[in-house]
Amino acid sequence: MNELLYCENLSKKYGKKQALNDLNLTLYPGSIIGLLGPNGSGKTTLIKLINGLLTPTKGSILINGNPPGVDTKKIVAYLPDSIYLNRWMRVEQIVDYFKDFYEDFRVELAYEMLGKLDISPKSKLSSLSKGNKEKVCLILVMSRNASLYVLDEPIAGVDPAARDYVISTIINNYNPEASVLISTHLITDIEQVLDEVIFLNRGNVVLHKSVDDIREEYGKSVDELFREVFKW
Amino acid sequence: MVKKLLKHELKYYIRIFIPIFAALVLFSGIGRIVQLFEPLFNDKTIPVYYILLIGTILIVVITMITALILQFIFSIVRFYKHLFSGEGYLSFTIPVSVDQHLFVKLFSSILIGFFTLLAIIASICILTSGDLLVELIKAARYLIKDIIKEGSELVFVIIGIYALYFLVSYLYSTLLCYLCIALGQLFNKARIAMAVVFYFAHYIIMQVGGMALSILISFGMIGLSASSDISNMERYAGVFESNPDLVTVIAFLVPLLIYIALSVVYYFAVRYILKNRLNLE
Amino acid sequence: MKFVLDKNRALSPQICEHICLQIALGEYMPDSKIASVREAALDFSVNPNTVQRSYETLEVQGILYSVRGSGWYVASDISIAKQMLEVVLEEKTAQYFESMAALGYTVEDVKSYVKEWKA
Repeated sequence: MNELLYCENLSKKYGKKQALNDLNLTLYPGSIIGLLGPNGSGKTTLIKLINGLLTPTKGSILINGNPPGVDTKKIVAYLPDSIYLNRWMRVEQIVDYFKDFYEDFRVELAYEMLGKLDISPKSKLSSLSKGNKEKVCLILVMSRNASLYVLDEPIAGVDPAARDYVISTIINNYNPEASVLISTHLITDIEQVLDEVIFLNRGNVVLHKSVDDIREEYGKSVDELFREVFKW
Repeated sequence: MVKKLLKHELKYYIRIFIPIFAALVLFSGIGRIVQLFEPLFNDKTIPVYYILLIGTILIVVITMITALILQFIFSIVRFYKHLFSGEGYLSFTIPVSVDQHLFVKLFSSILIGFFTLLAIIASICILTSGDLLVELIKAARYLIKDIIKEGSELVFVIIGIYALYFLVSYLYSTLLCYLCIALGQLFNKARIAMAVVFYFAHYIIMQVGGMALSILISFGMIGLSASSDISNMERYAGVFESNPDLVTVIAFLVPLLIYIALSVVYYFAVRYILKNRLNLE
Repeated sequence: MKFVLDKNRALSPQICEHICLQIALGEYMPDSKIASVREAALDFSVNPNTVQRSYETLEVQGILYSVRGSGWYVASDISIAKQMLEVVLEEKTAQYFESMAALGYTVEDVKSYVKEWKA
């Protein structure tokens, strides 16, 4: 199987602070992966490196064999941890933007999902509730037919109903040839949809295993194991 | 991709500049209408008429200057916001290369600058339409005819160089701002403040450098005249005297070349930072 | 039948058990089509890959069969699925005796108690 994501001795320093420290990681297509770790463990740094929003201090990162660039951006769909869209834009303008720049964007699918939420294409982003803004962002990302979806904290700060919506949207749009990398610290809510988990601590991978293996080997849920690994 | 990028870039500018251009046209229209009422005012009320006229013209002029300033500011703000603020998360994750981003940013900025100039010309035409405009065009035609009649082939070269000079210095100042912003992004804190620091540092370096250069040149001149070979100097002087336009061309060409060289350097510096040192918050 | 995931156990076998029970209880008839992988994943709120794995396991065991381009069907012979009922009965009863043993009751104590039990 060809590697979808390959990181070798990946390091990132902000000034003196070491955010990632010689991280090695390989991901393959066809699974939903949880990127778990306490705050400051390097989750967002890794995600930004995958998307080429940061450049590594040391080491290499390859997506489908290419370093982050125009080619990898075509196949990676990214949901940042904060709302990054232009507030003055209308929903339809943002859809237009995605349609223009991503060849794999499925316009009908996006409108179908927006319609189910009763979000009018004419409405301005600034007029939507926080929850709906986040849902619009998720819909845009999941409407792409990408090879790698990278979702940074998609369920943090949303109410339980919205959480269910996020999870069902991910399941509903999951394509077995693609992989989804989801970073979160709310493990209980999401662990049943994961195939494998990566535990990140102080910029390094401390555990990378299939979820069913964890349950069989340790006889406990991912959440319990997480709490044990990260006990202070 | 460039086409699509340009489309969205212009959409952004249109949203801001259509109201500004509309205001420009509206104010100059009002200024023109005020002029229509001149016959209604008798001698006693002439000051009232002139106050009105000057007032409206002043408003038009202020709007013009504002449009020009805003045009430059918005092209810088757009660069910062689209690439380095939250929007950068999207701008840098669409499959577009850094060169394409930079080209579109610069090109659309020039385009919108050009439209701002057009709007200003249009507003002058509206304000002076009627007899006054006819007079103005006549005067302009007369002037141009006069210059052409003088038979200097260099006139068109000079006009071309003027236009080029204007364009290059516009690109240069834009790229300088881009570079300062990009340099500011290399820091983990106070990135905009650092950009301002870089701008002033650059200003000081350019001032000192310029001064040093002129001192060097004048020393060179003194050295040259001190050397015994006065005939050489005279020969040079002779060339310039017989062809005064050549002085103008050289006086423009040298800084033009310097600006072009610096612009290229700044472009590649910005490109390097965006490509290899990107550090979005 | 309501399905409750136990996150302390591997998910795929739990889904297999649940489908067997559904078949055994007649919620799915022999040779009838069952929920697609995606529908089931949404229903159970689990990863589609997990459901896929469960279906494949059940296929190997002869409980389900797949039709290319159509989906998943219950086997004509549901005797294997029905065995599942016994397995669950055995498991739950064993669990029950275990927890009672933890409270100090012998198997005999519990048996006599159950005999007197009025449901």
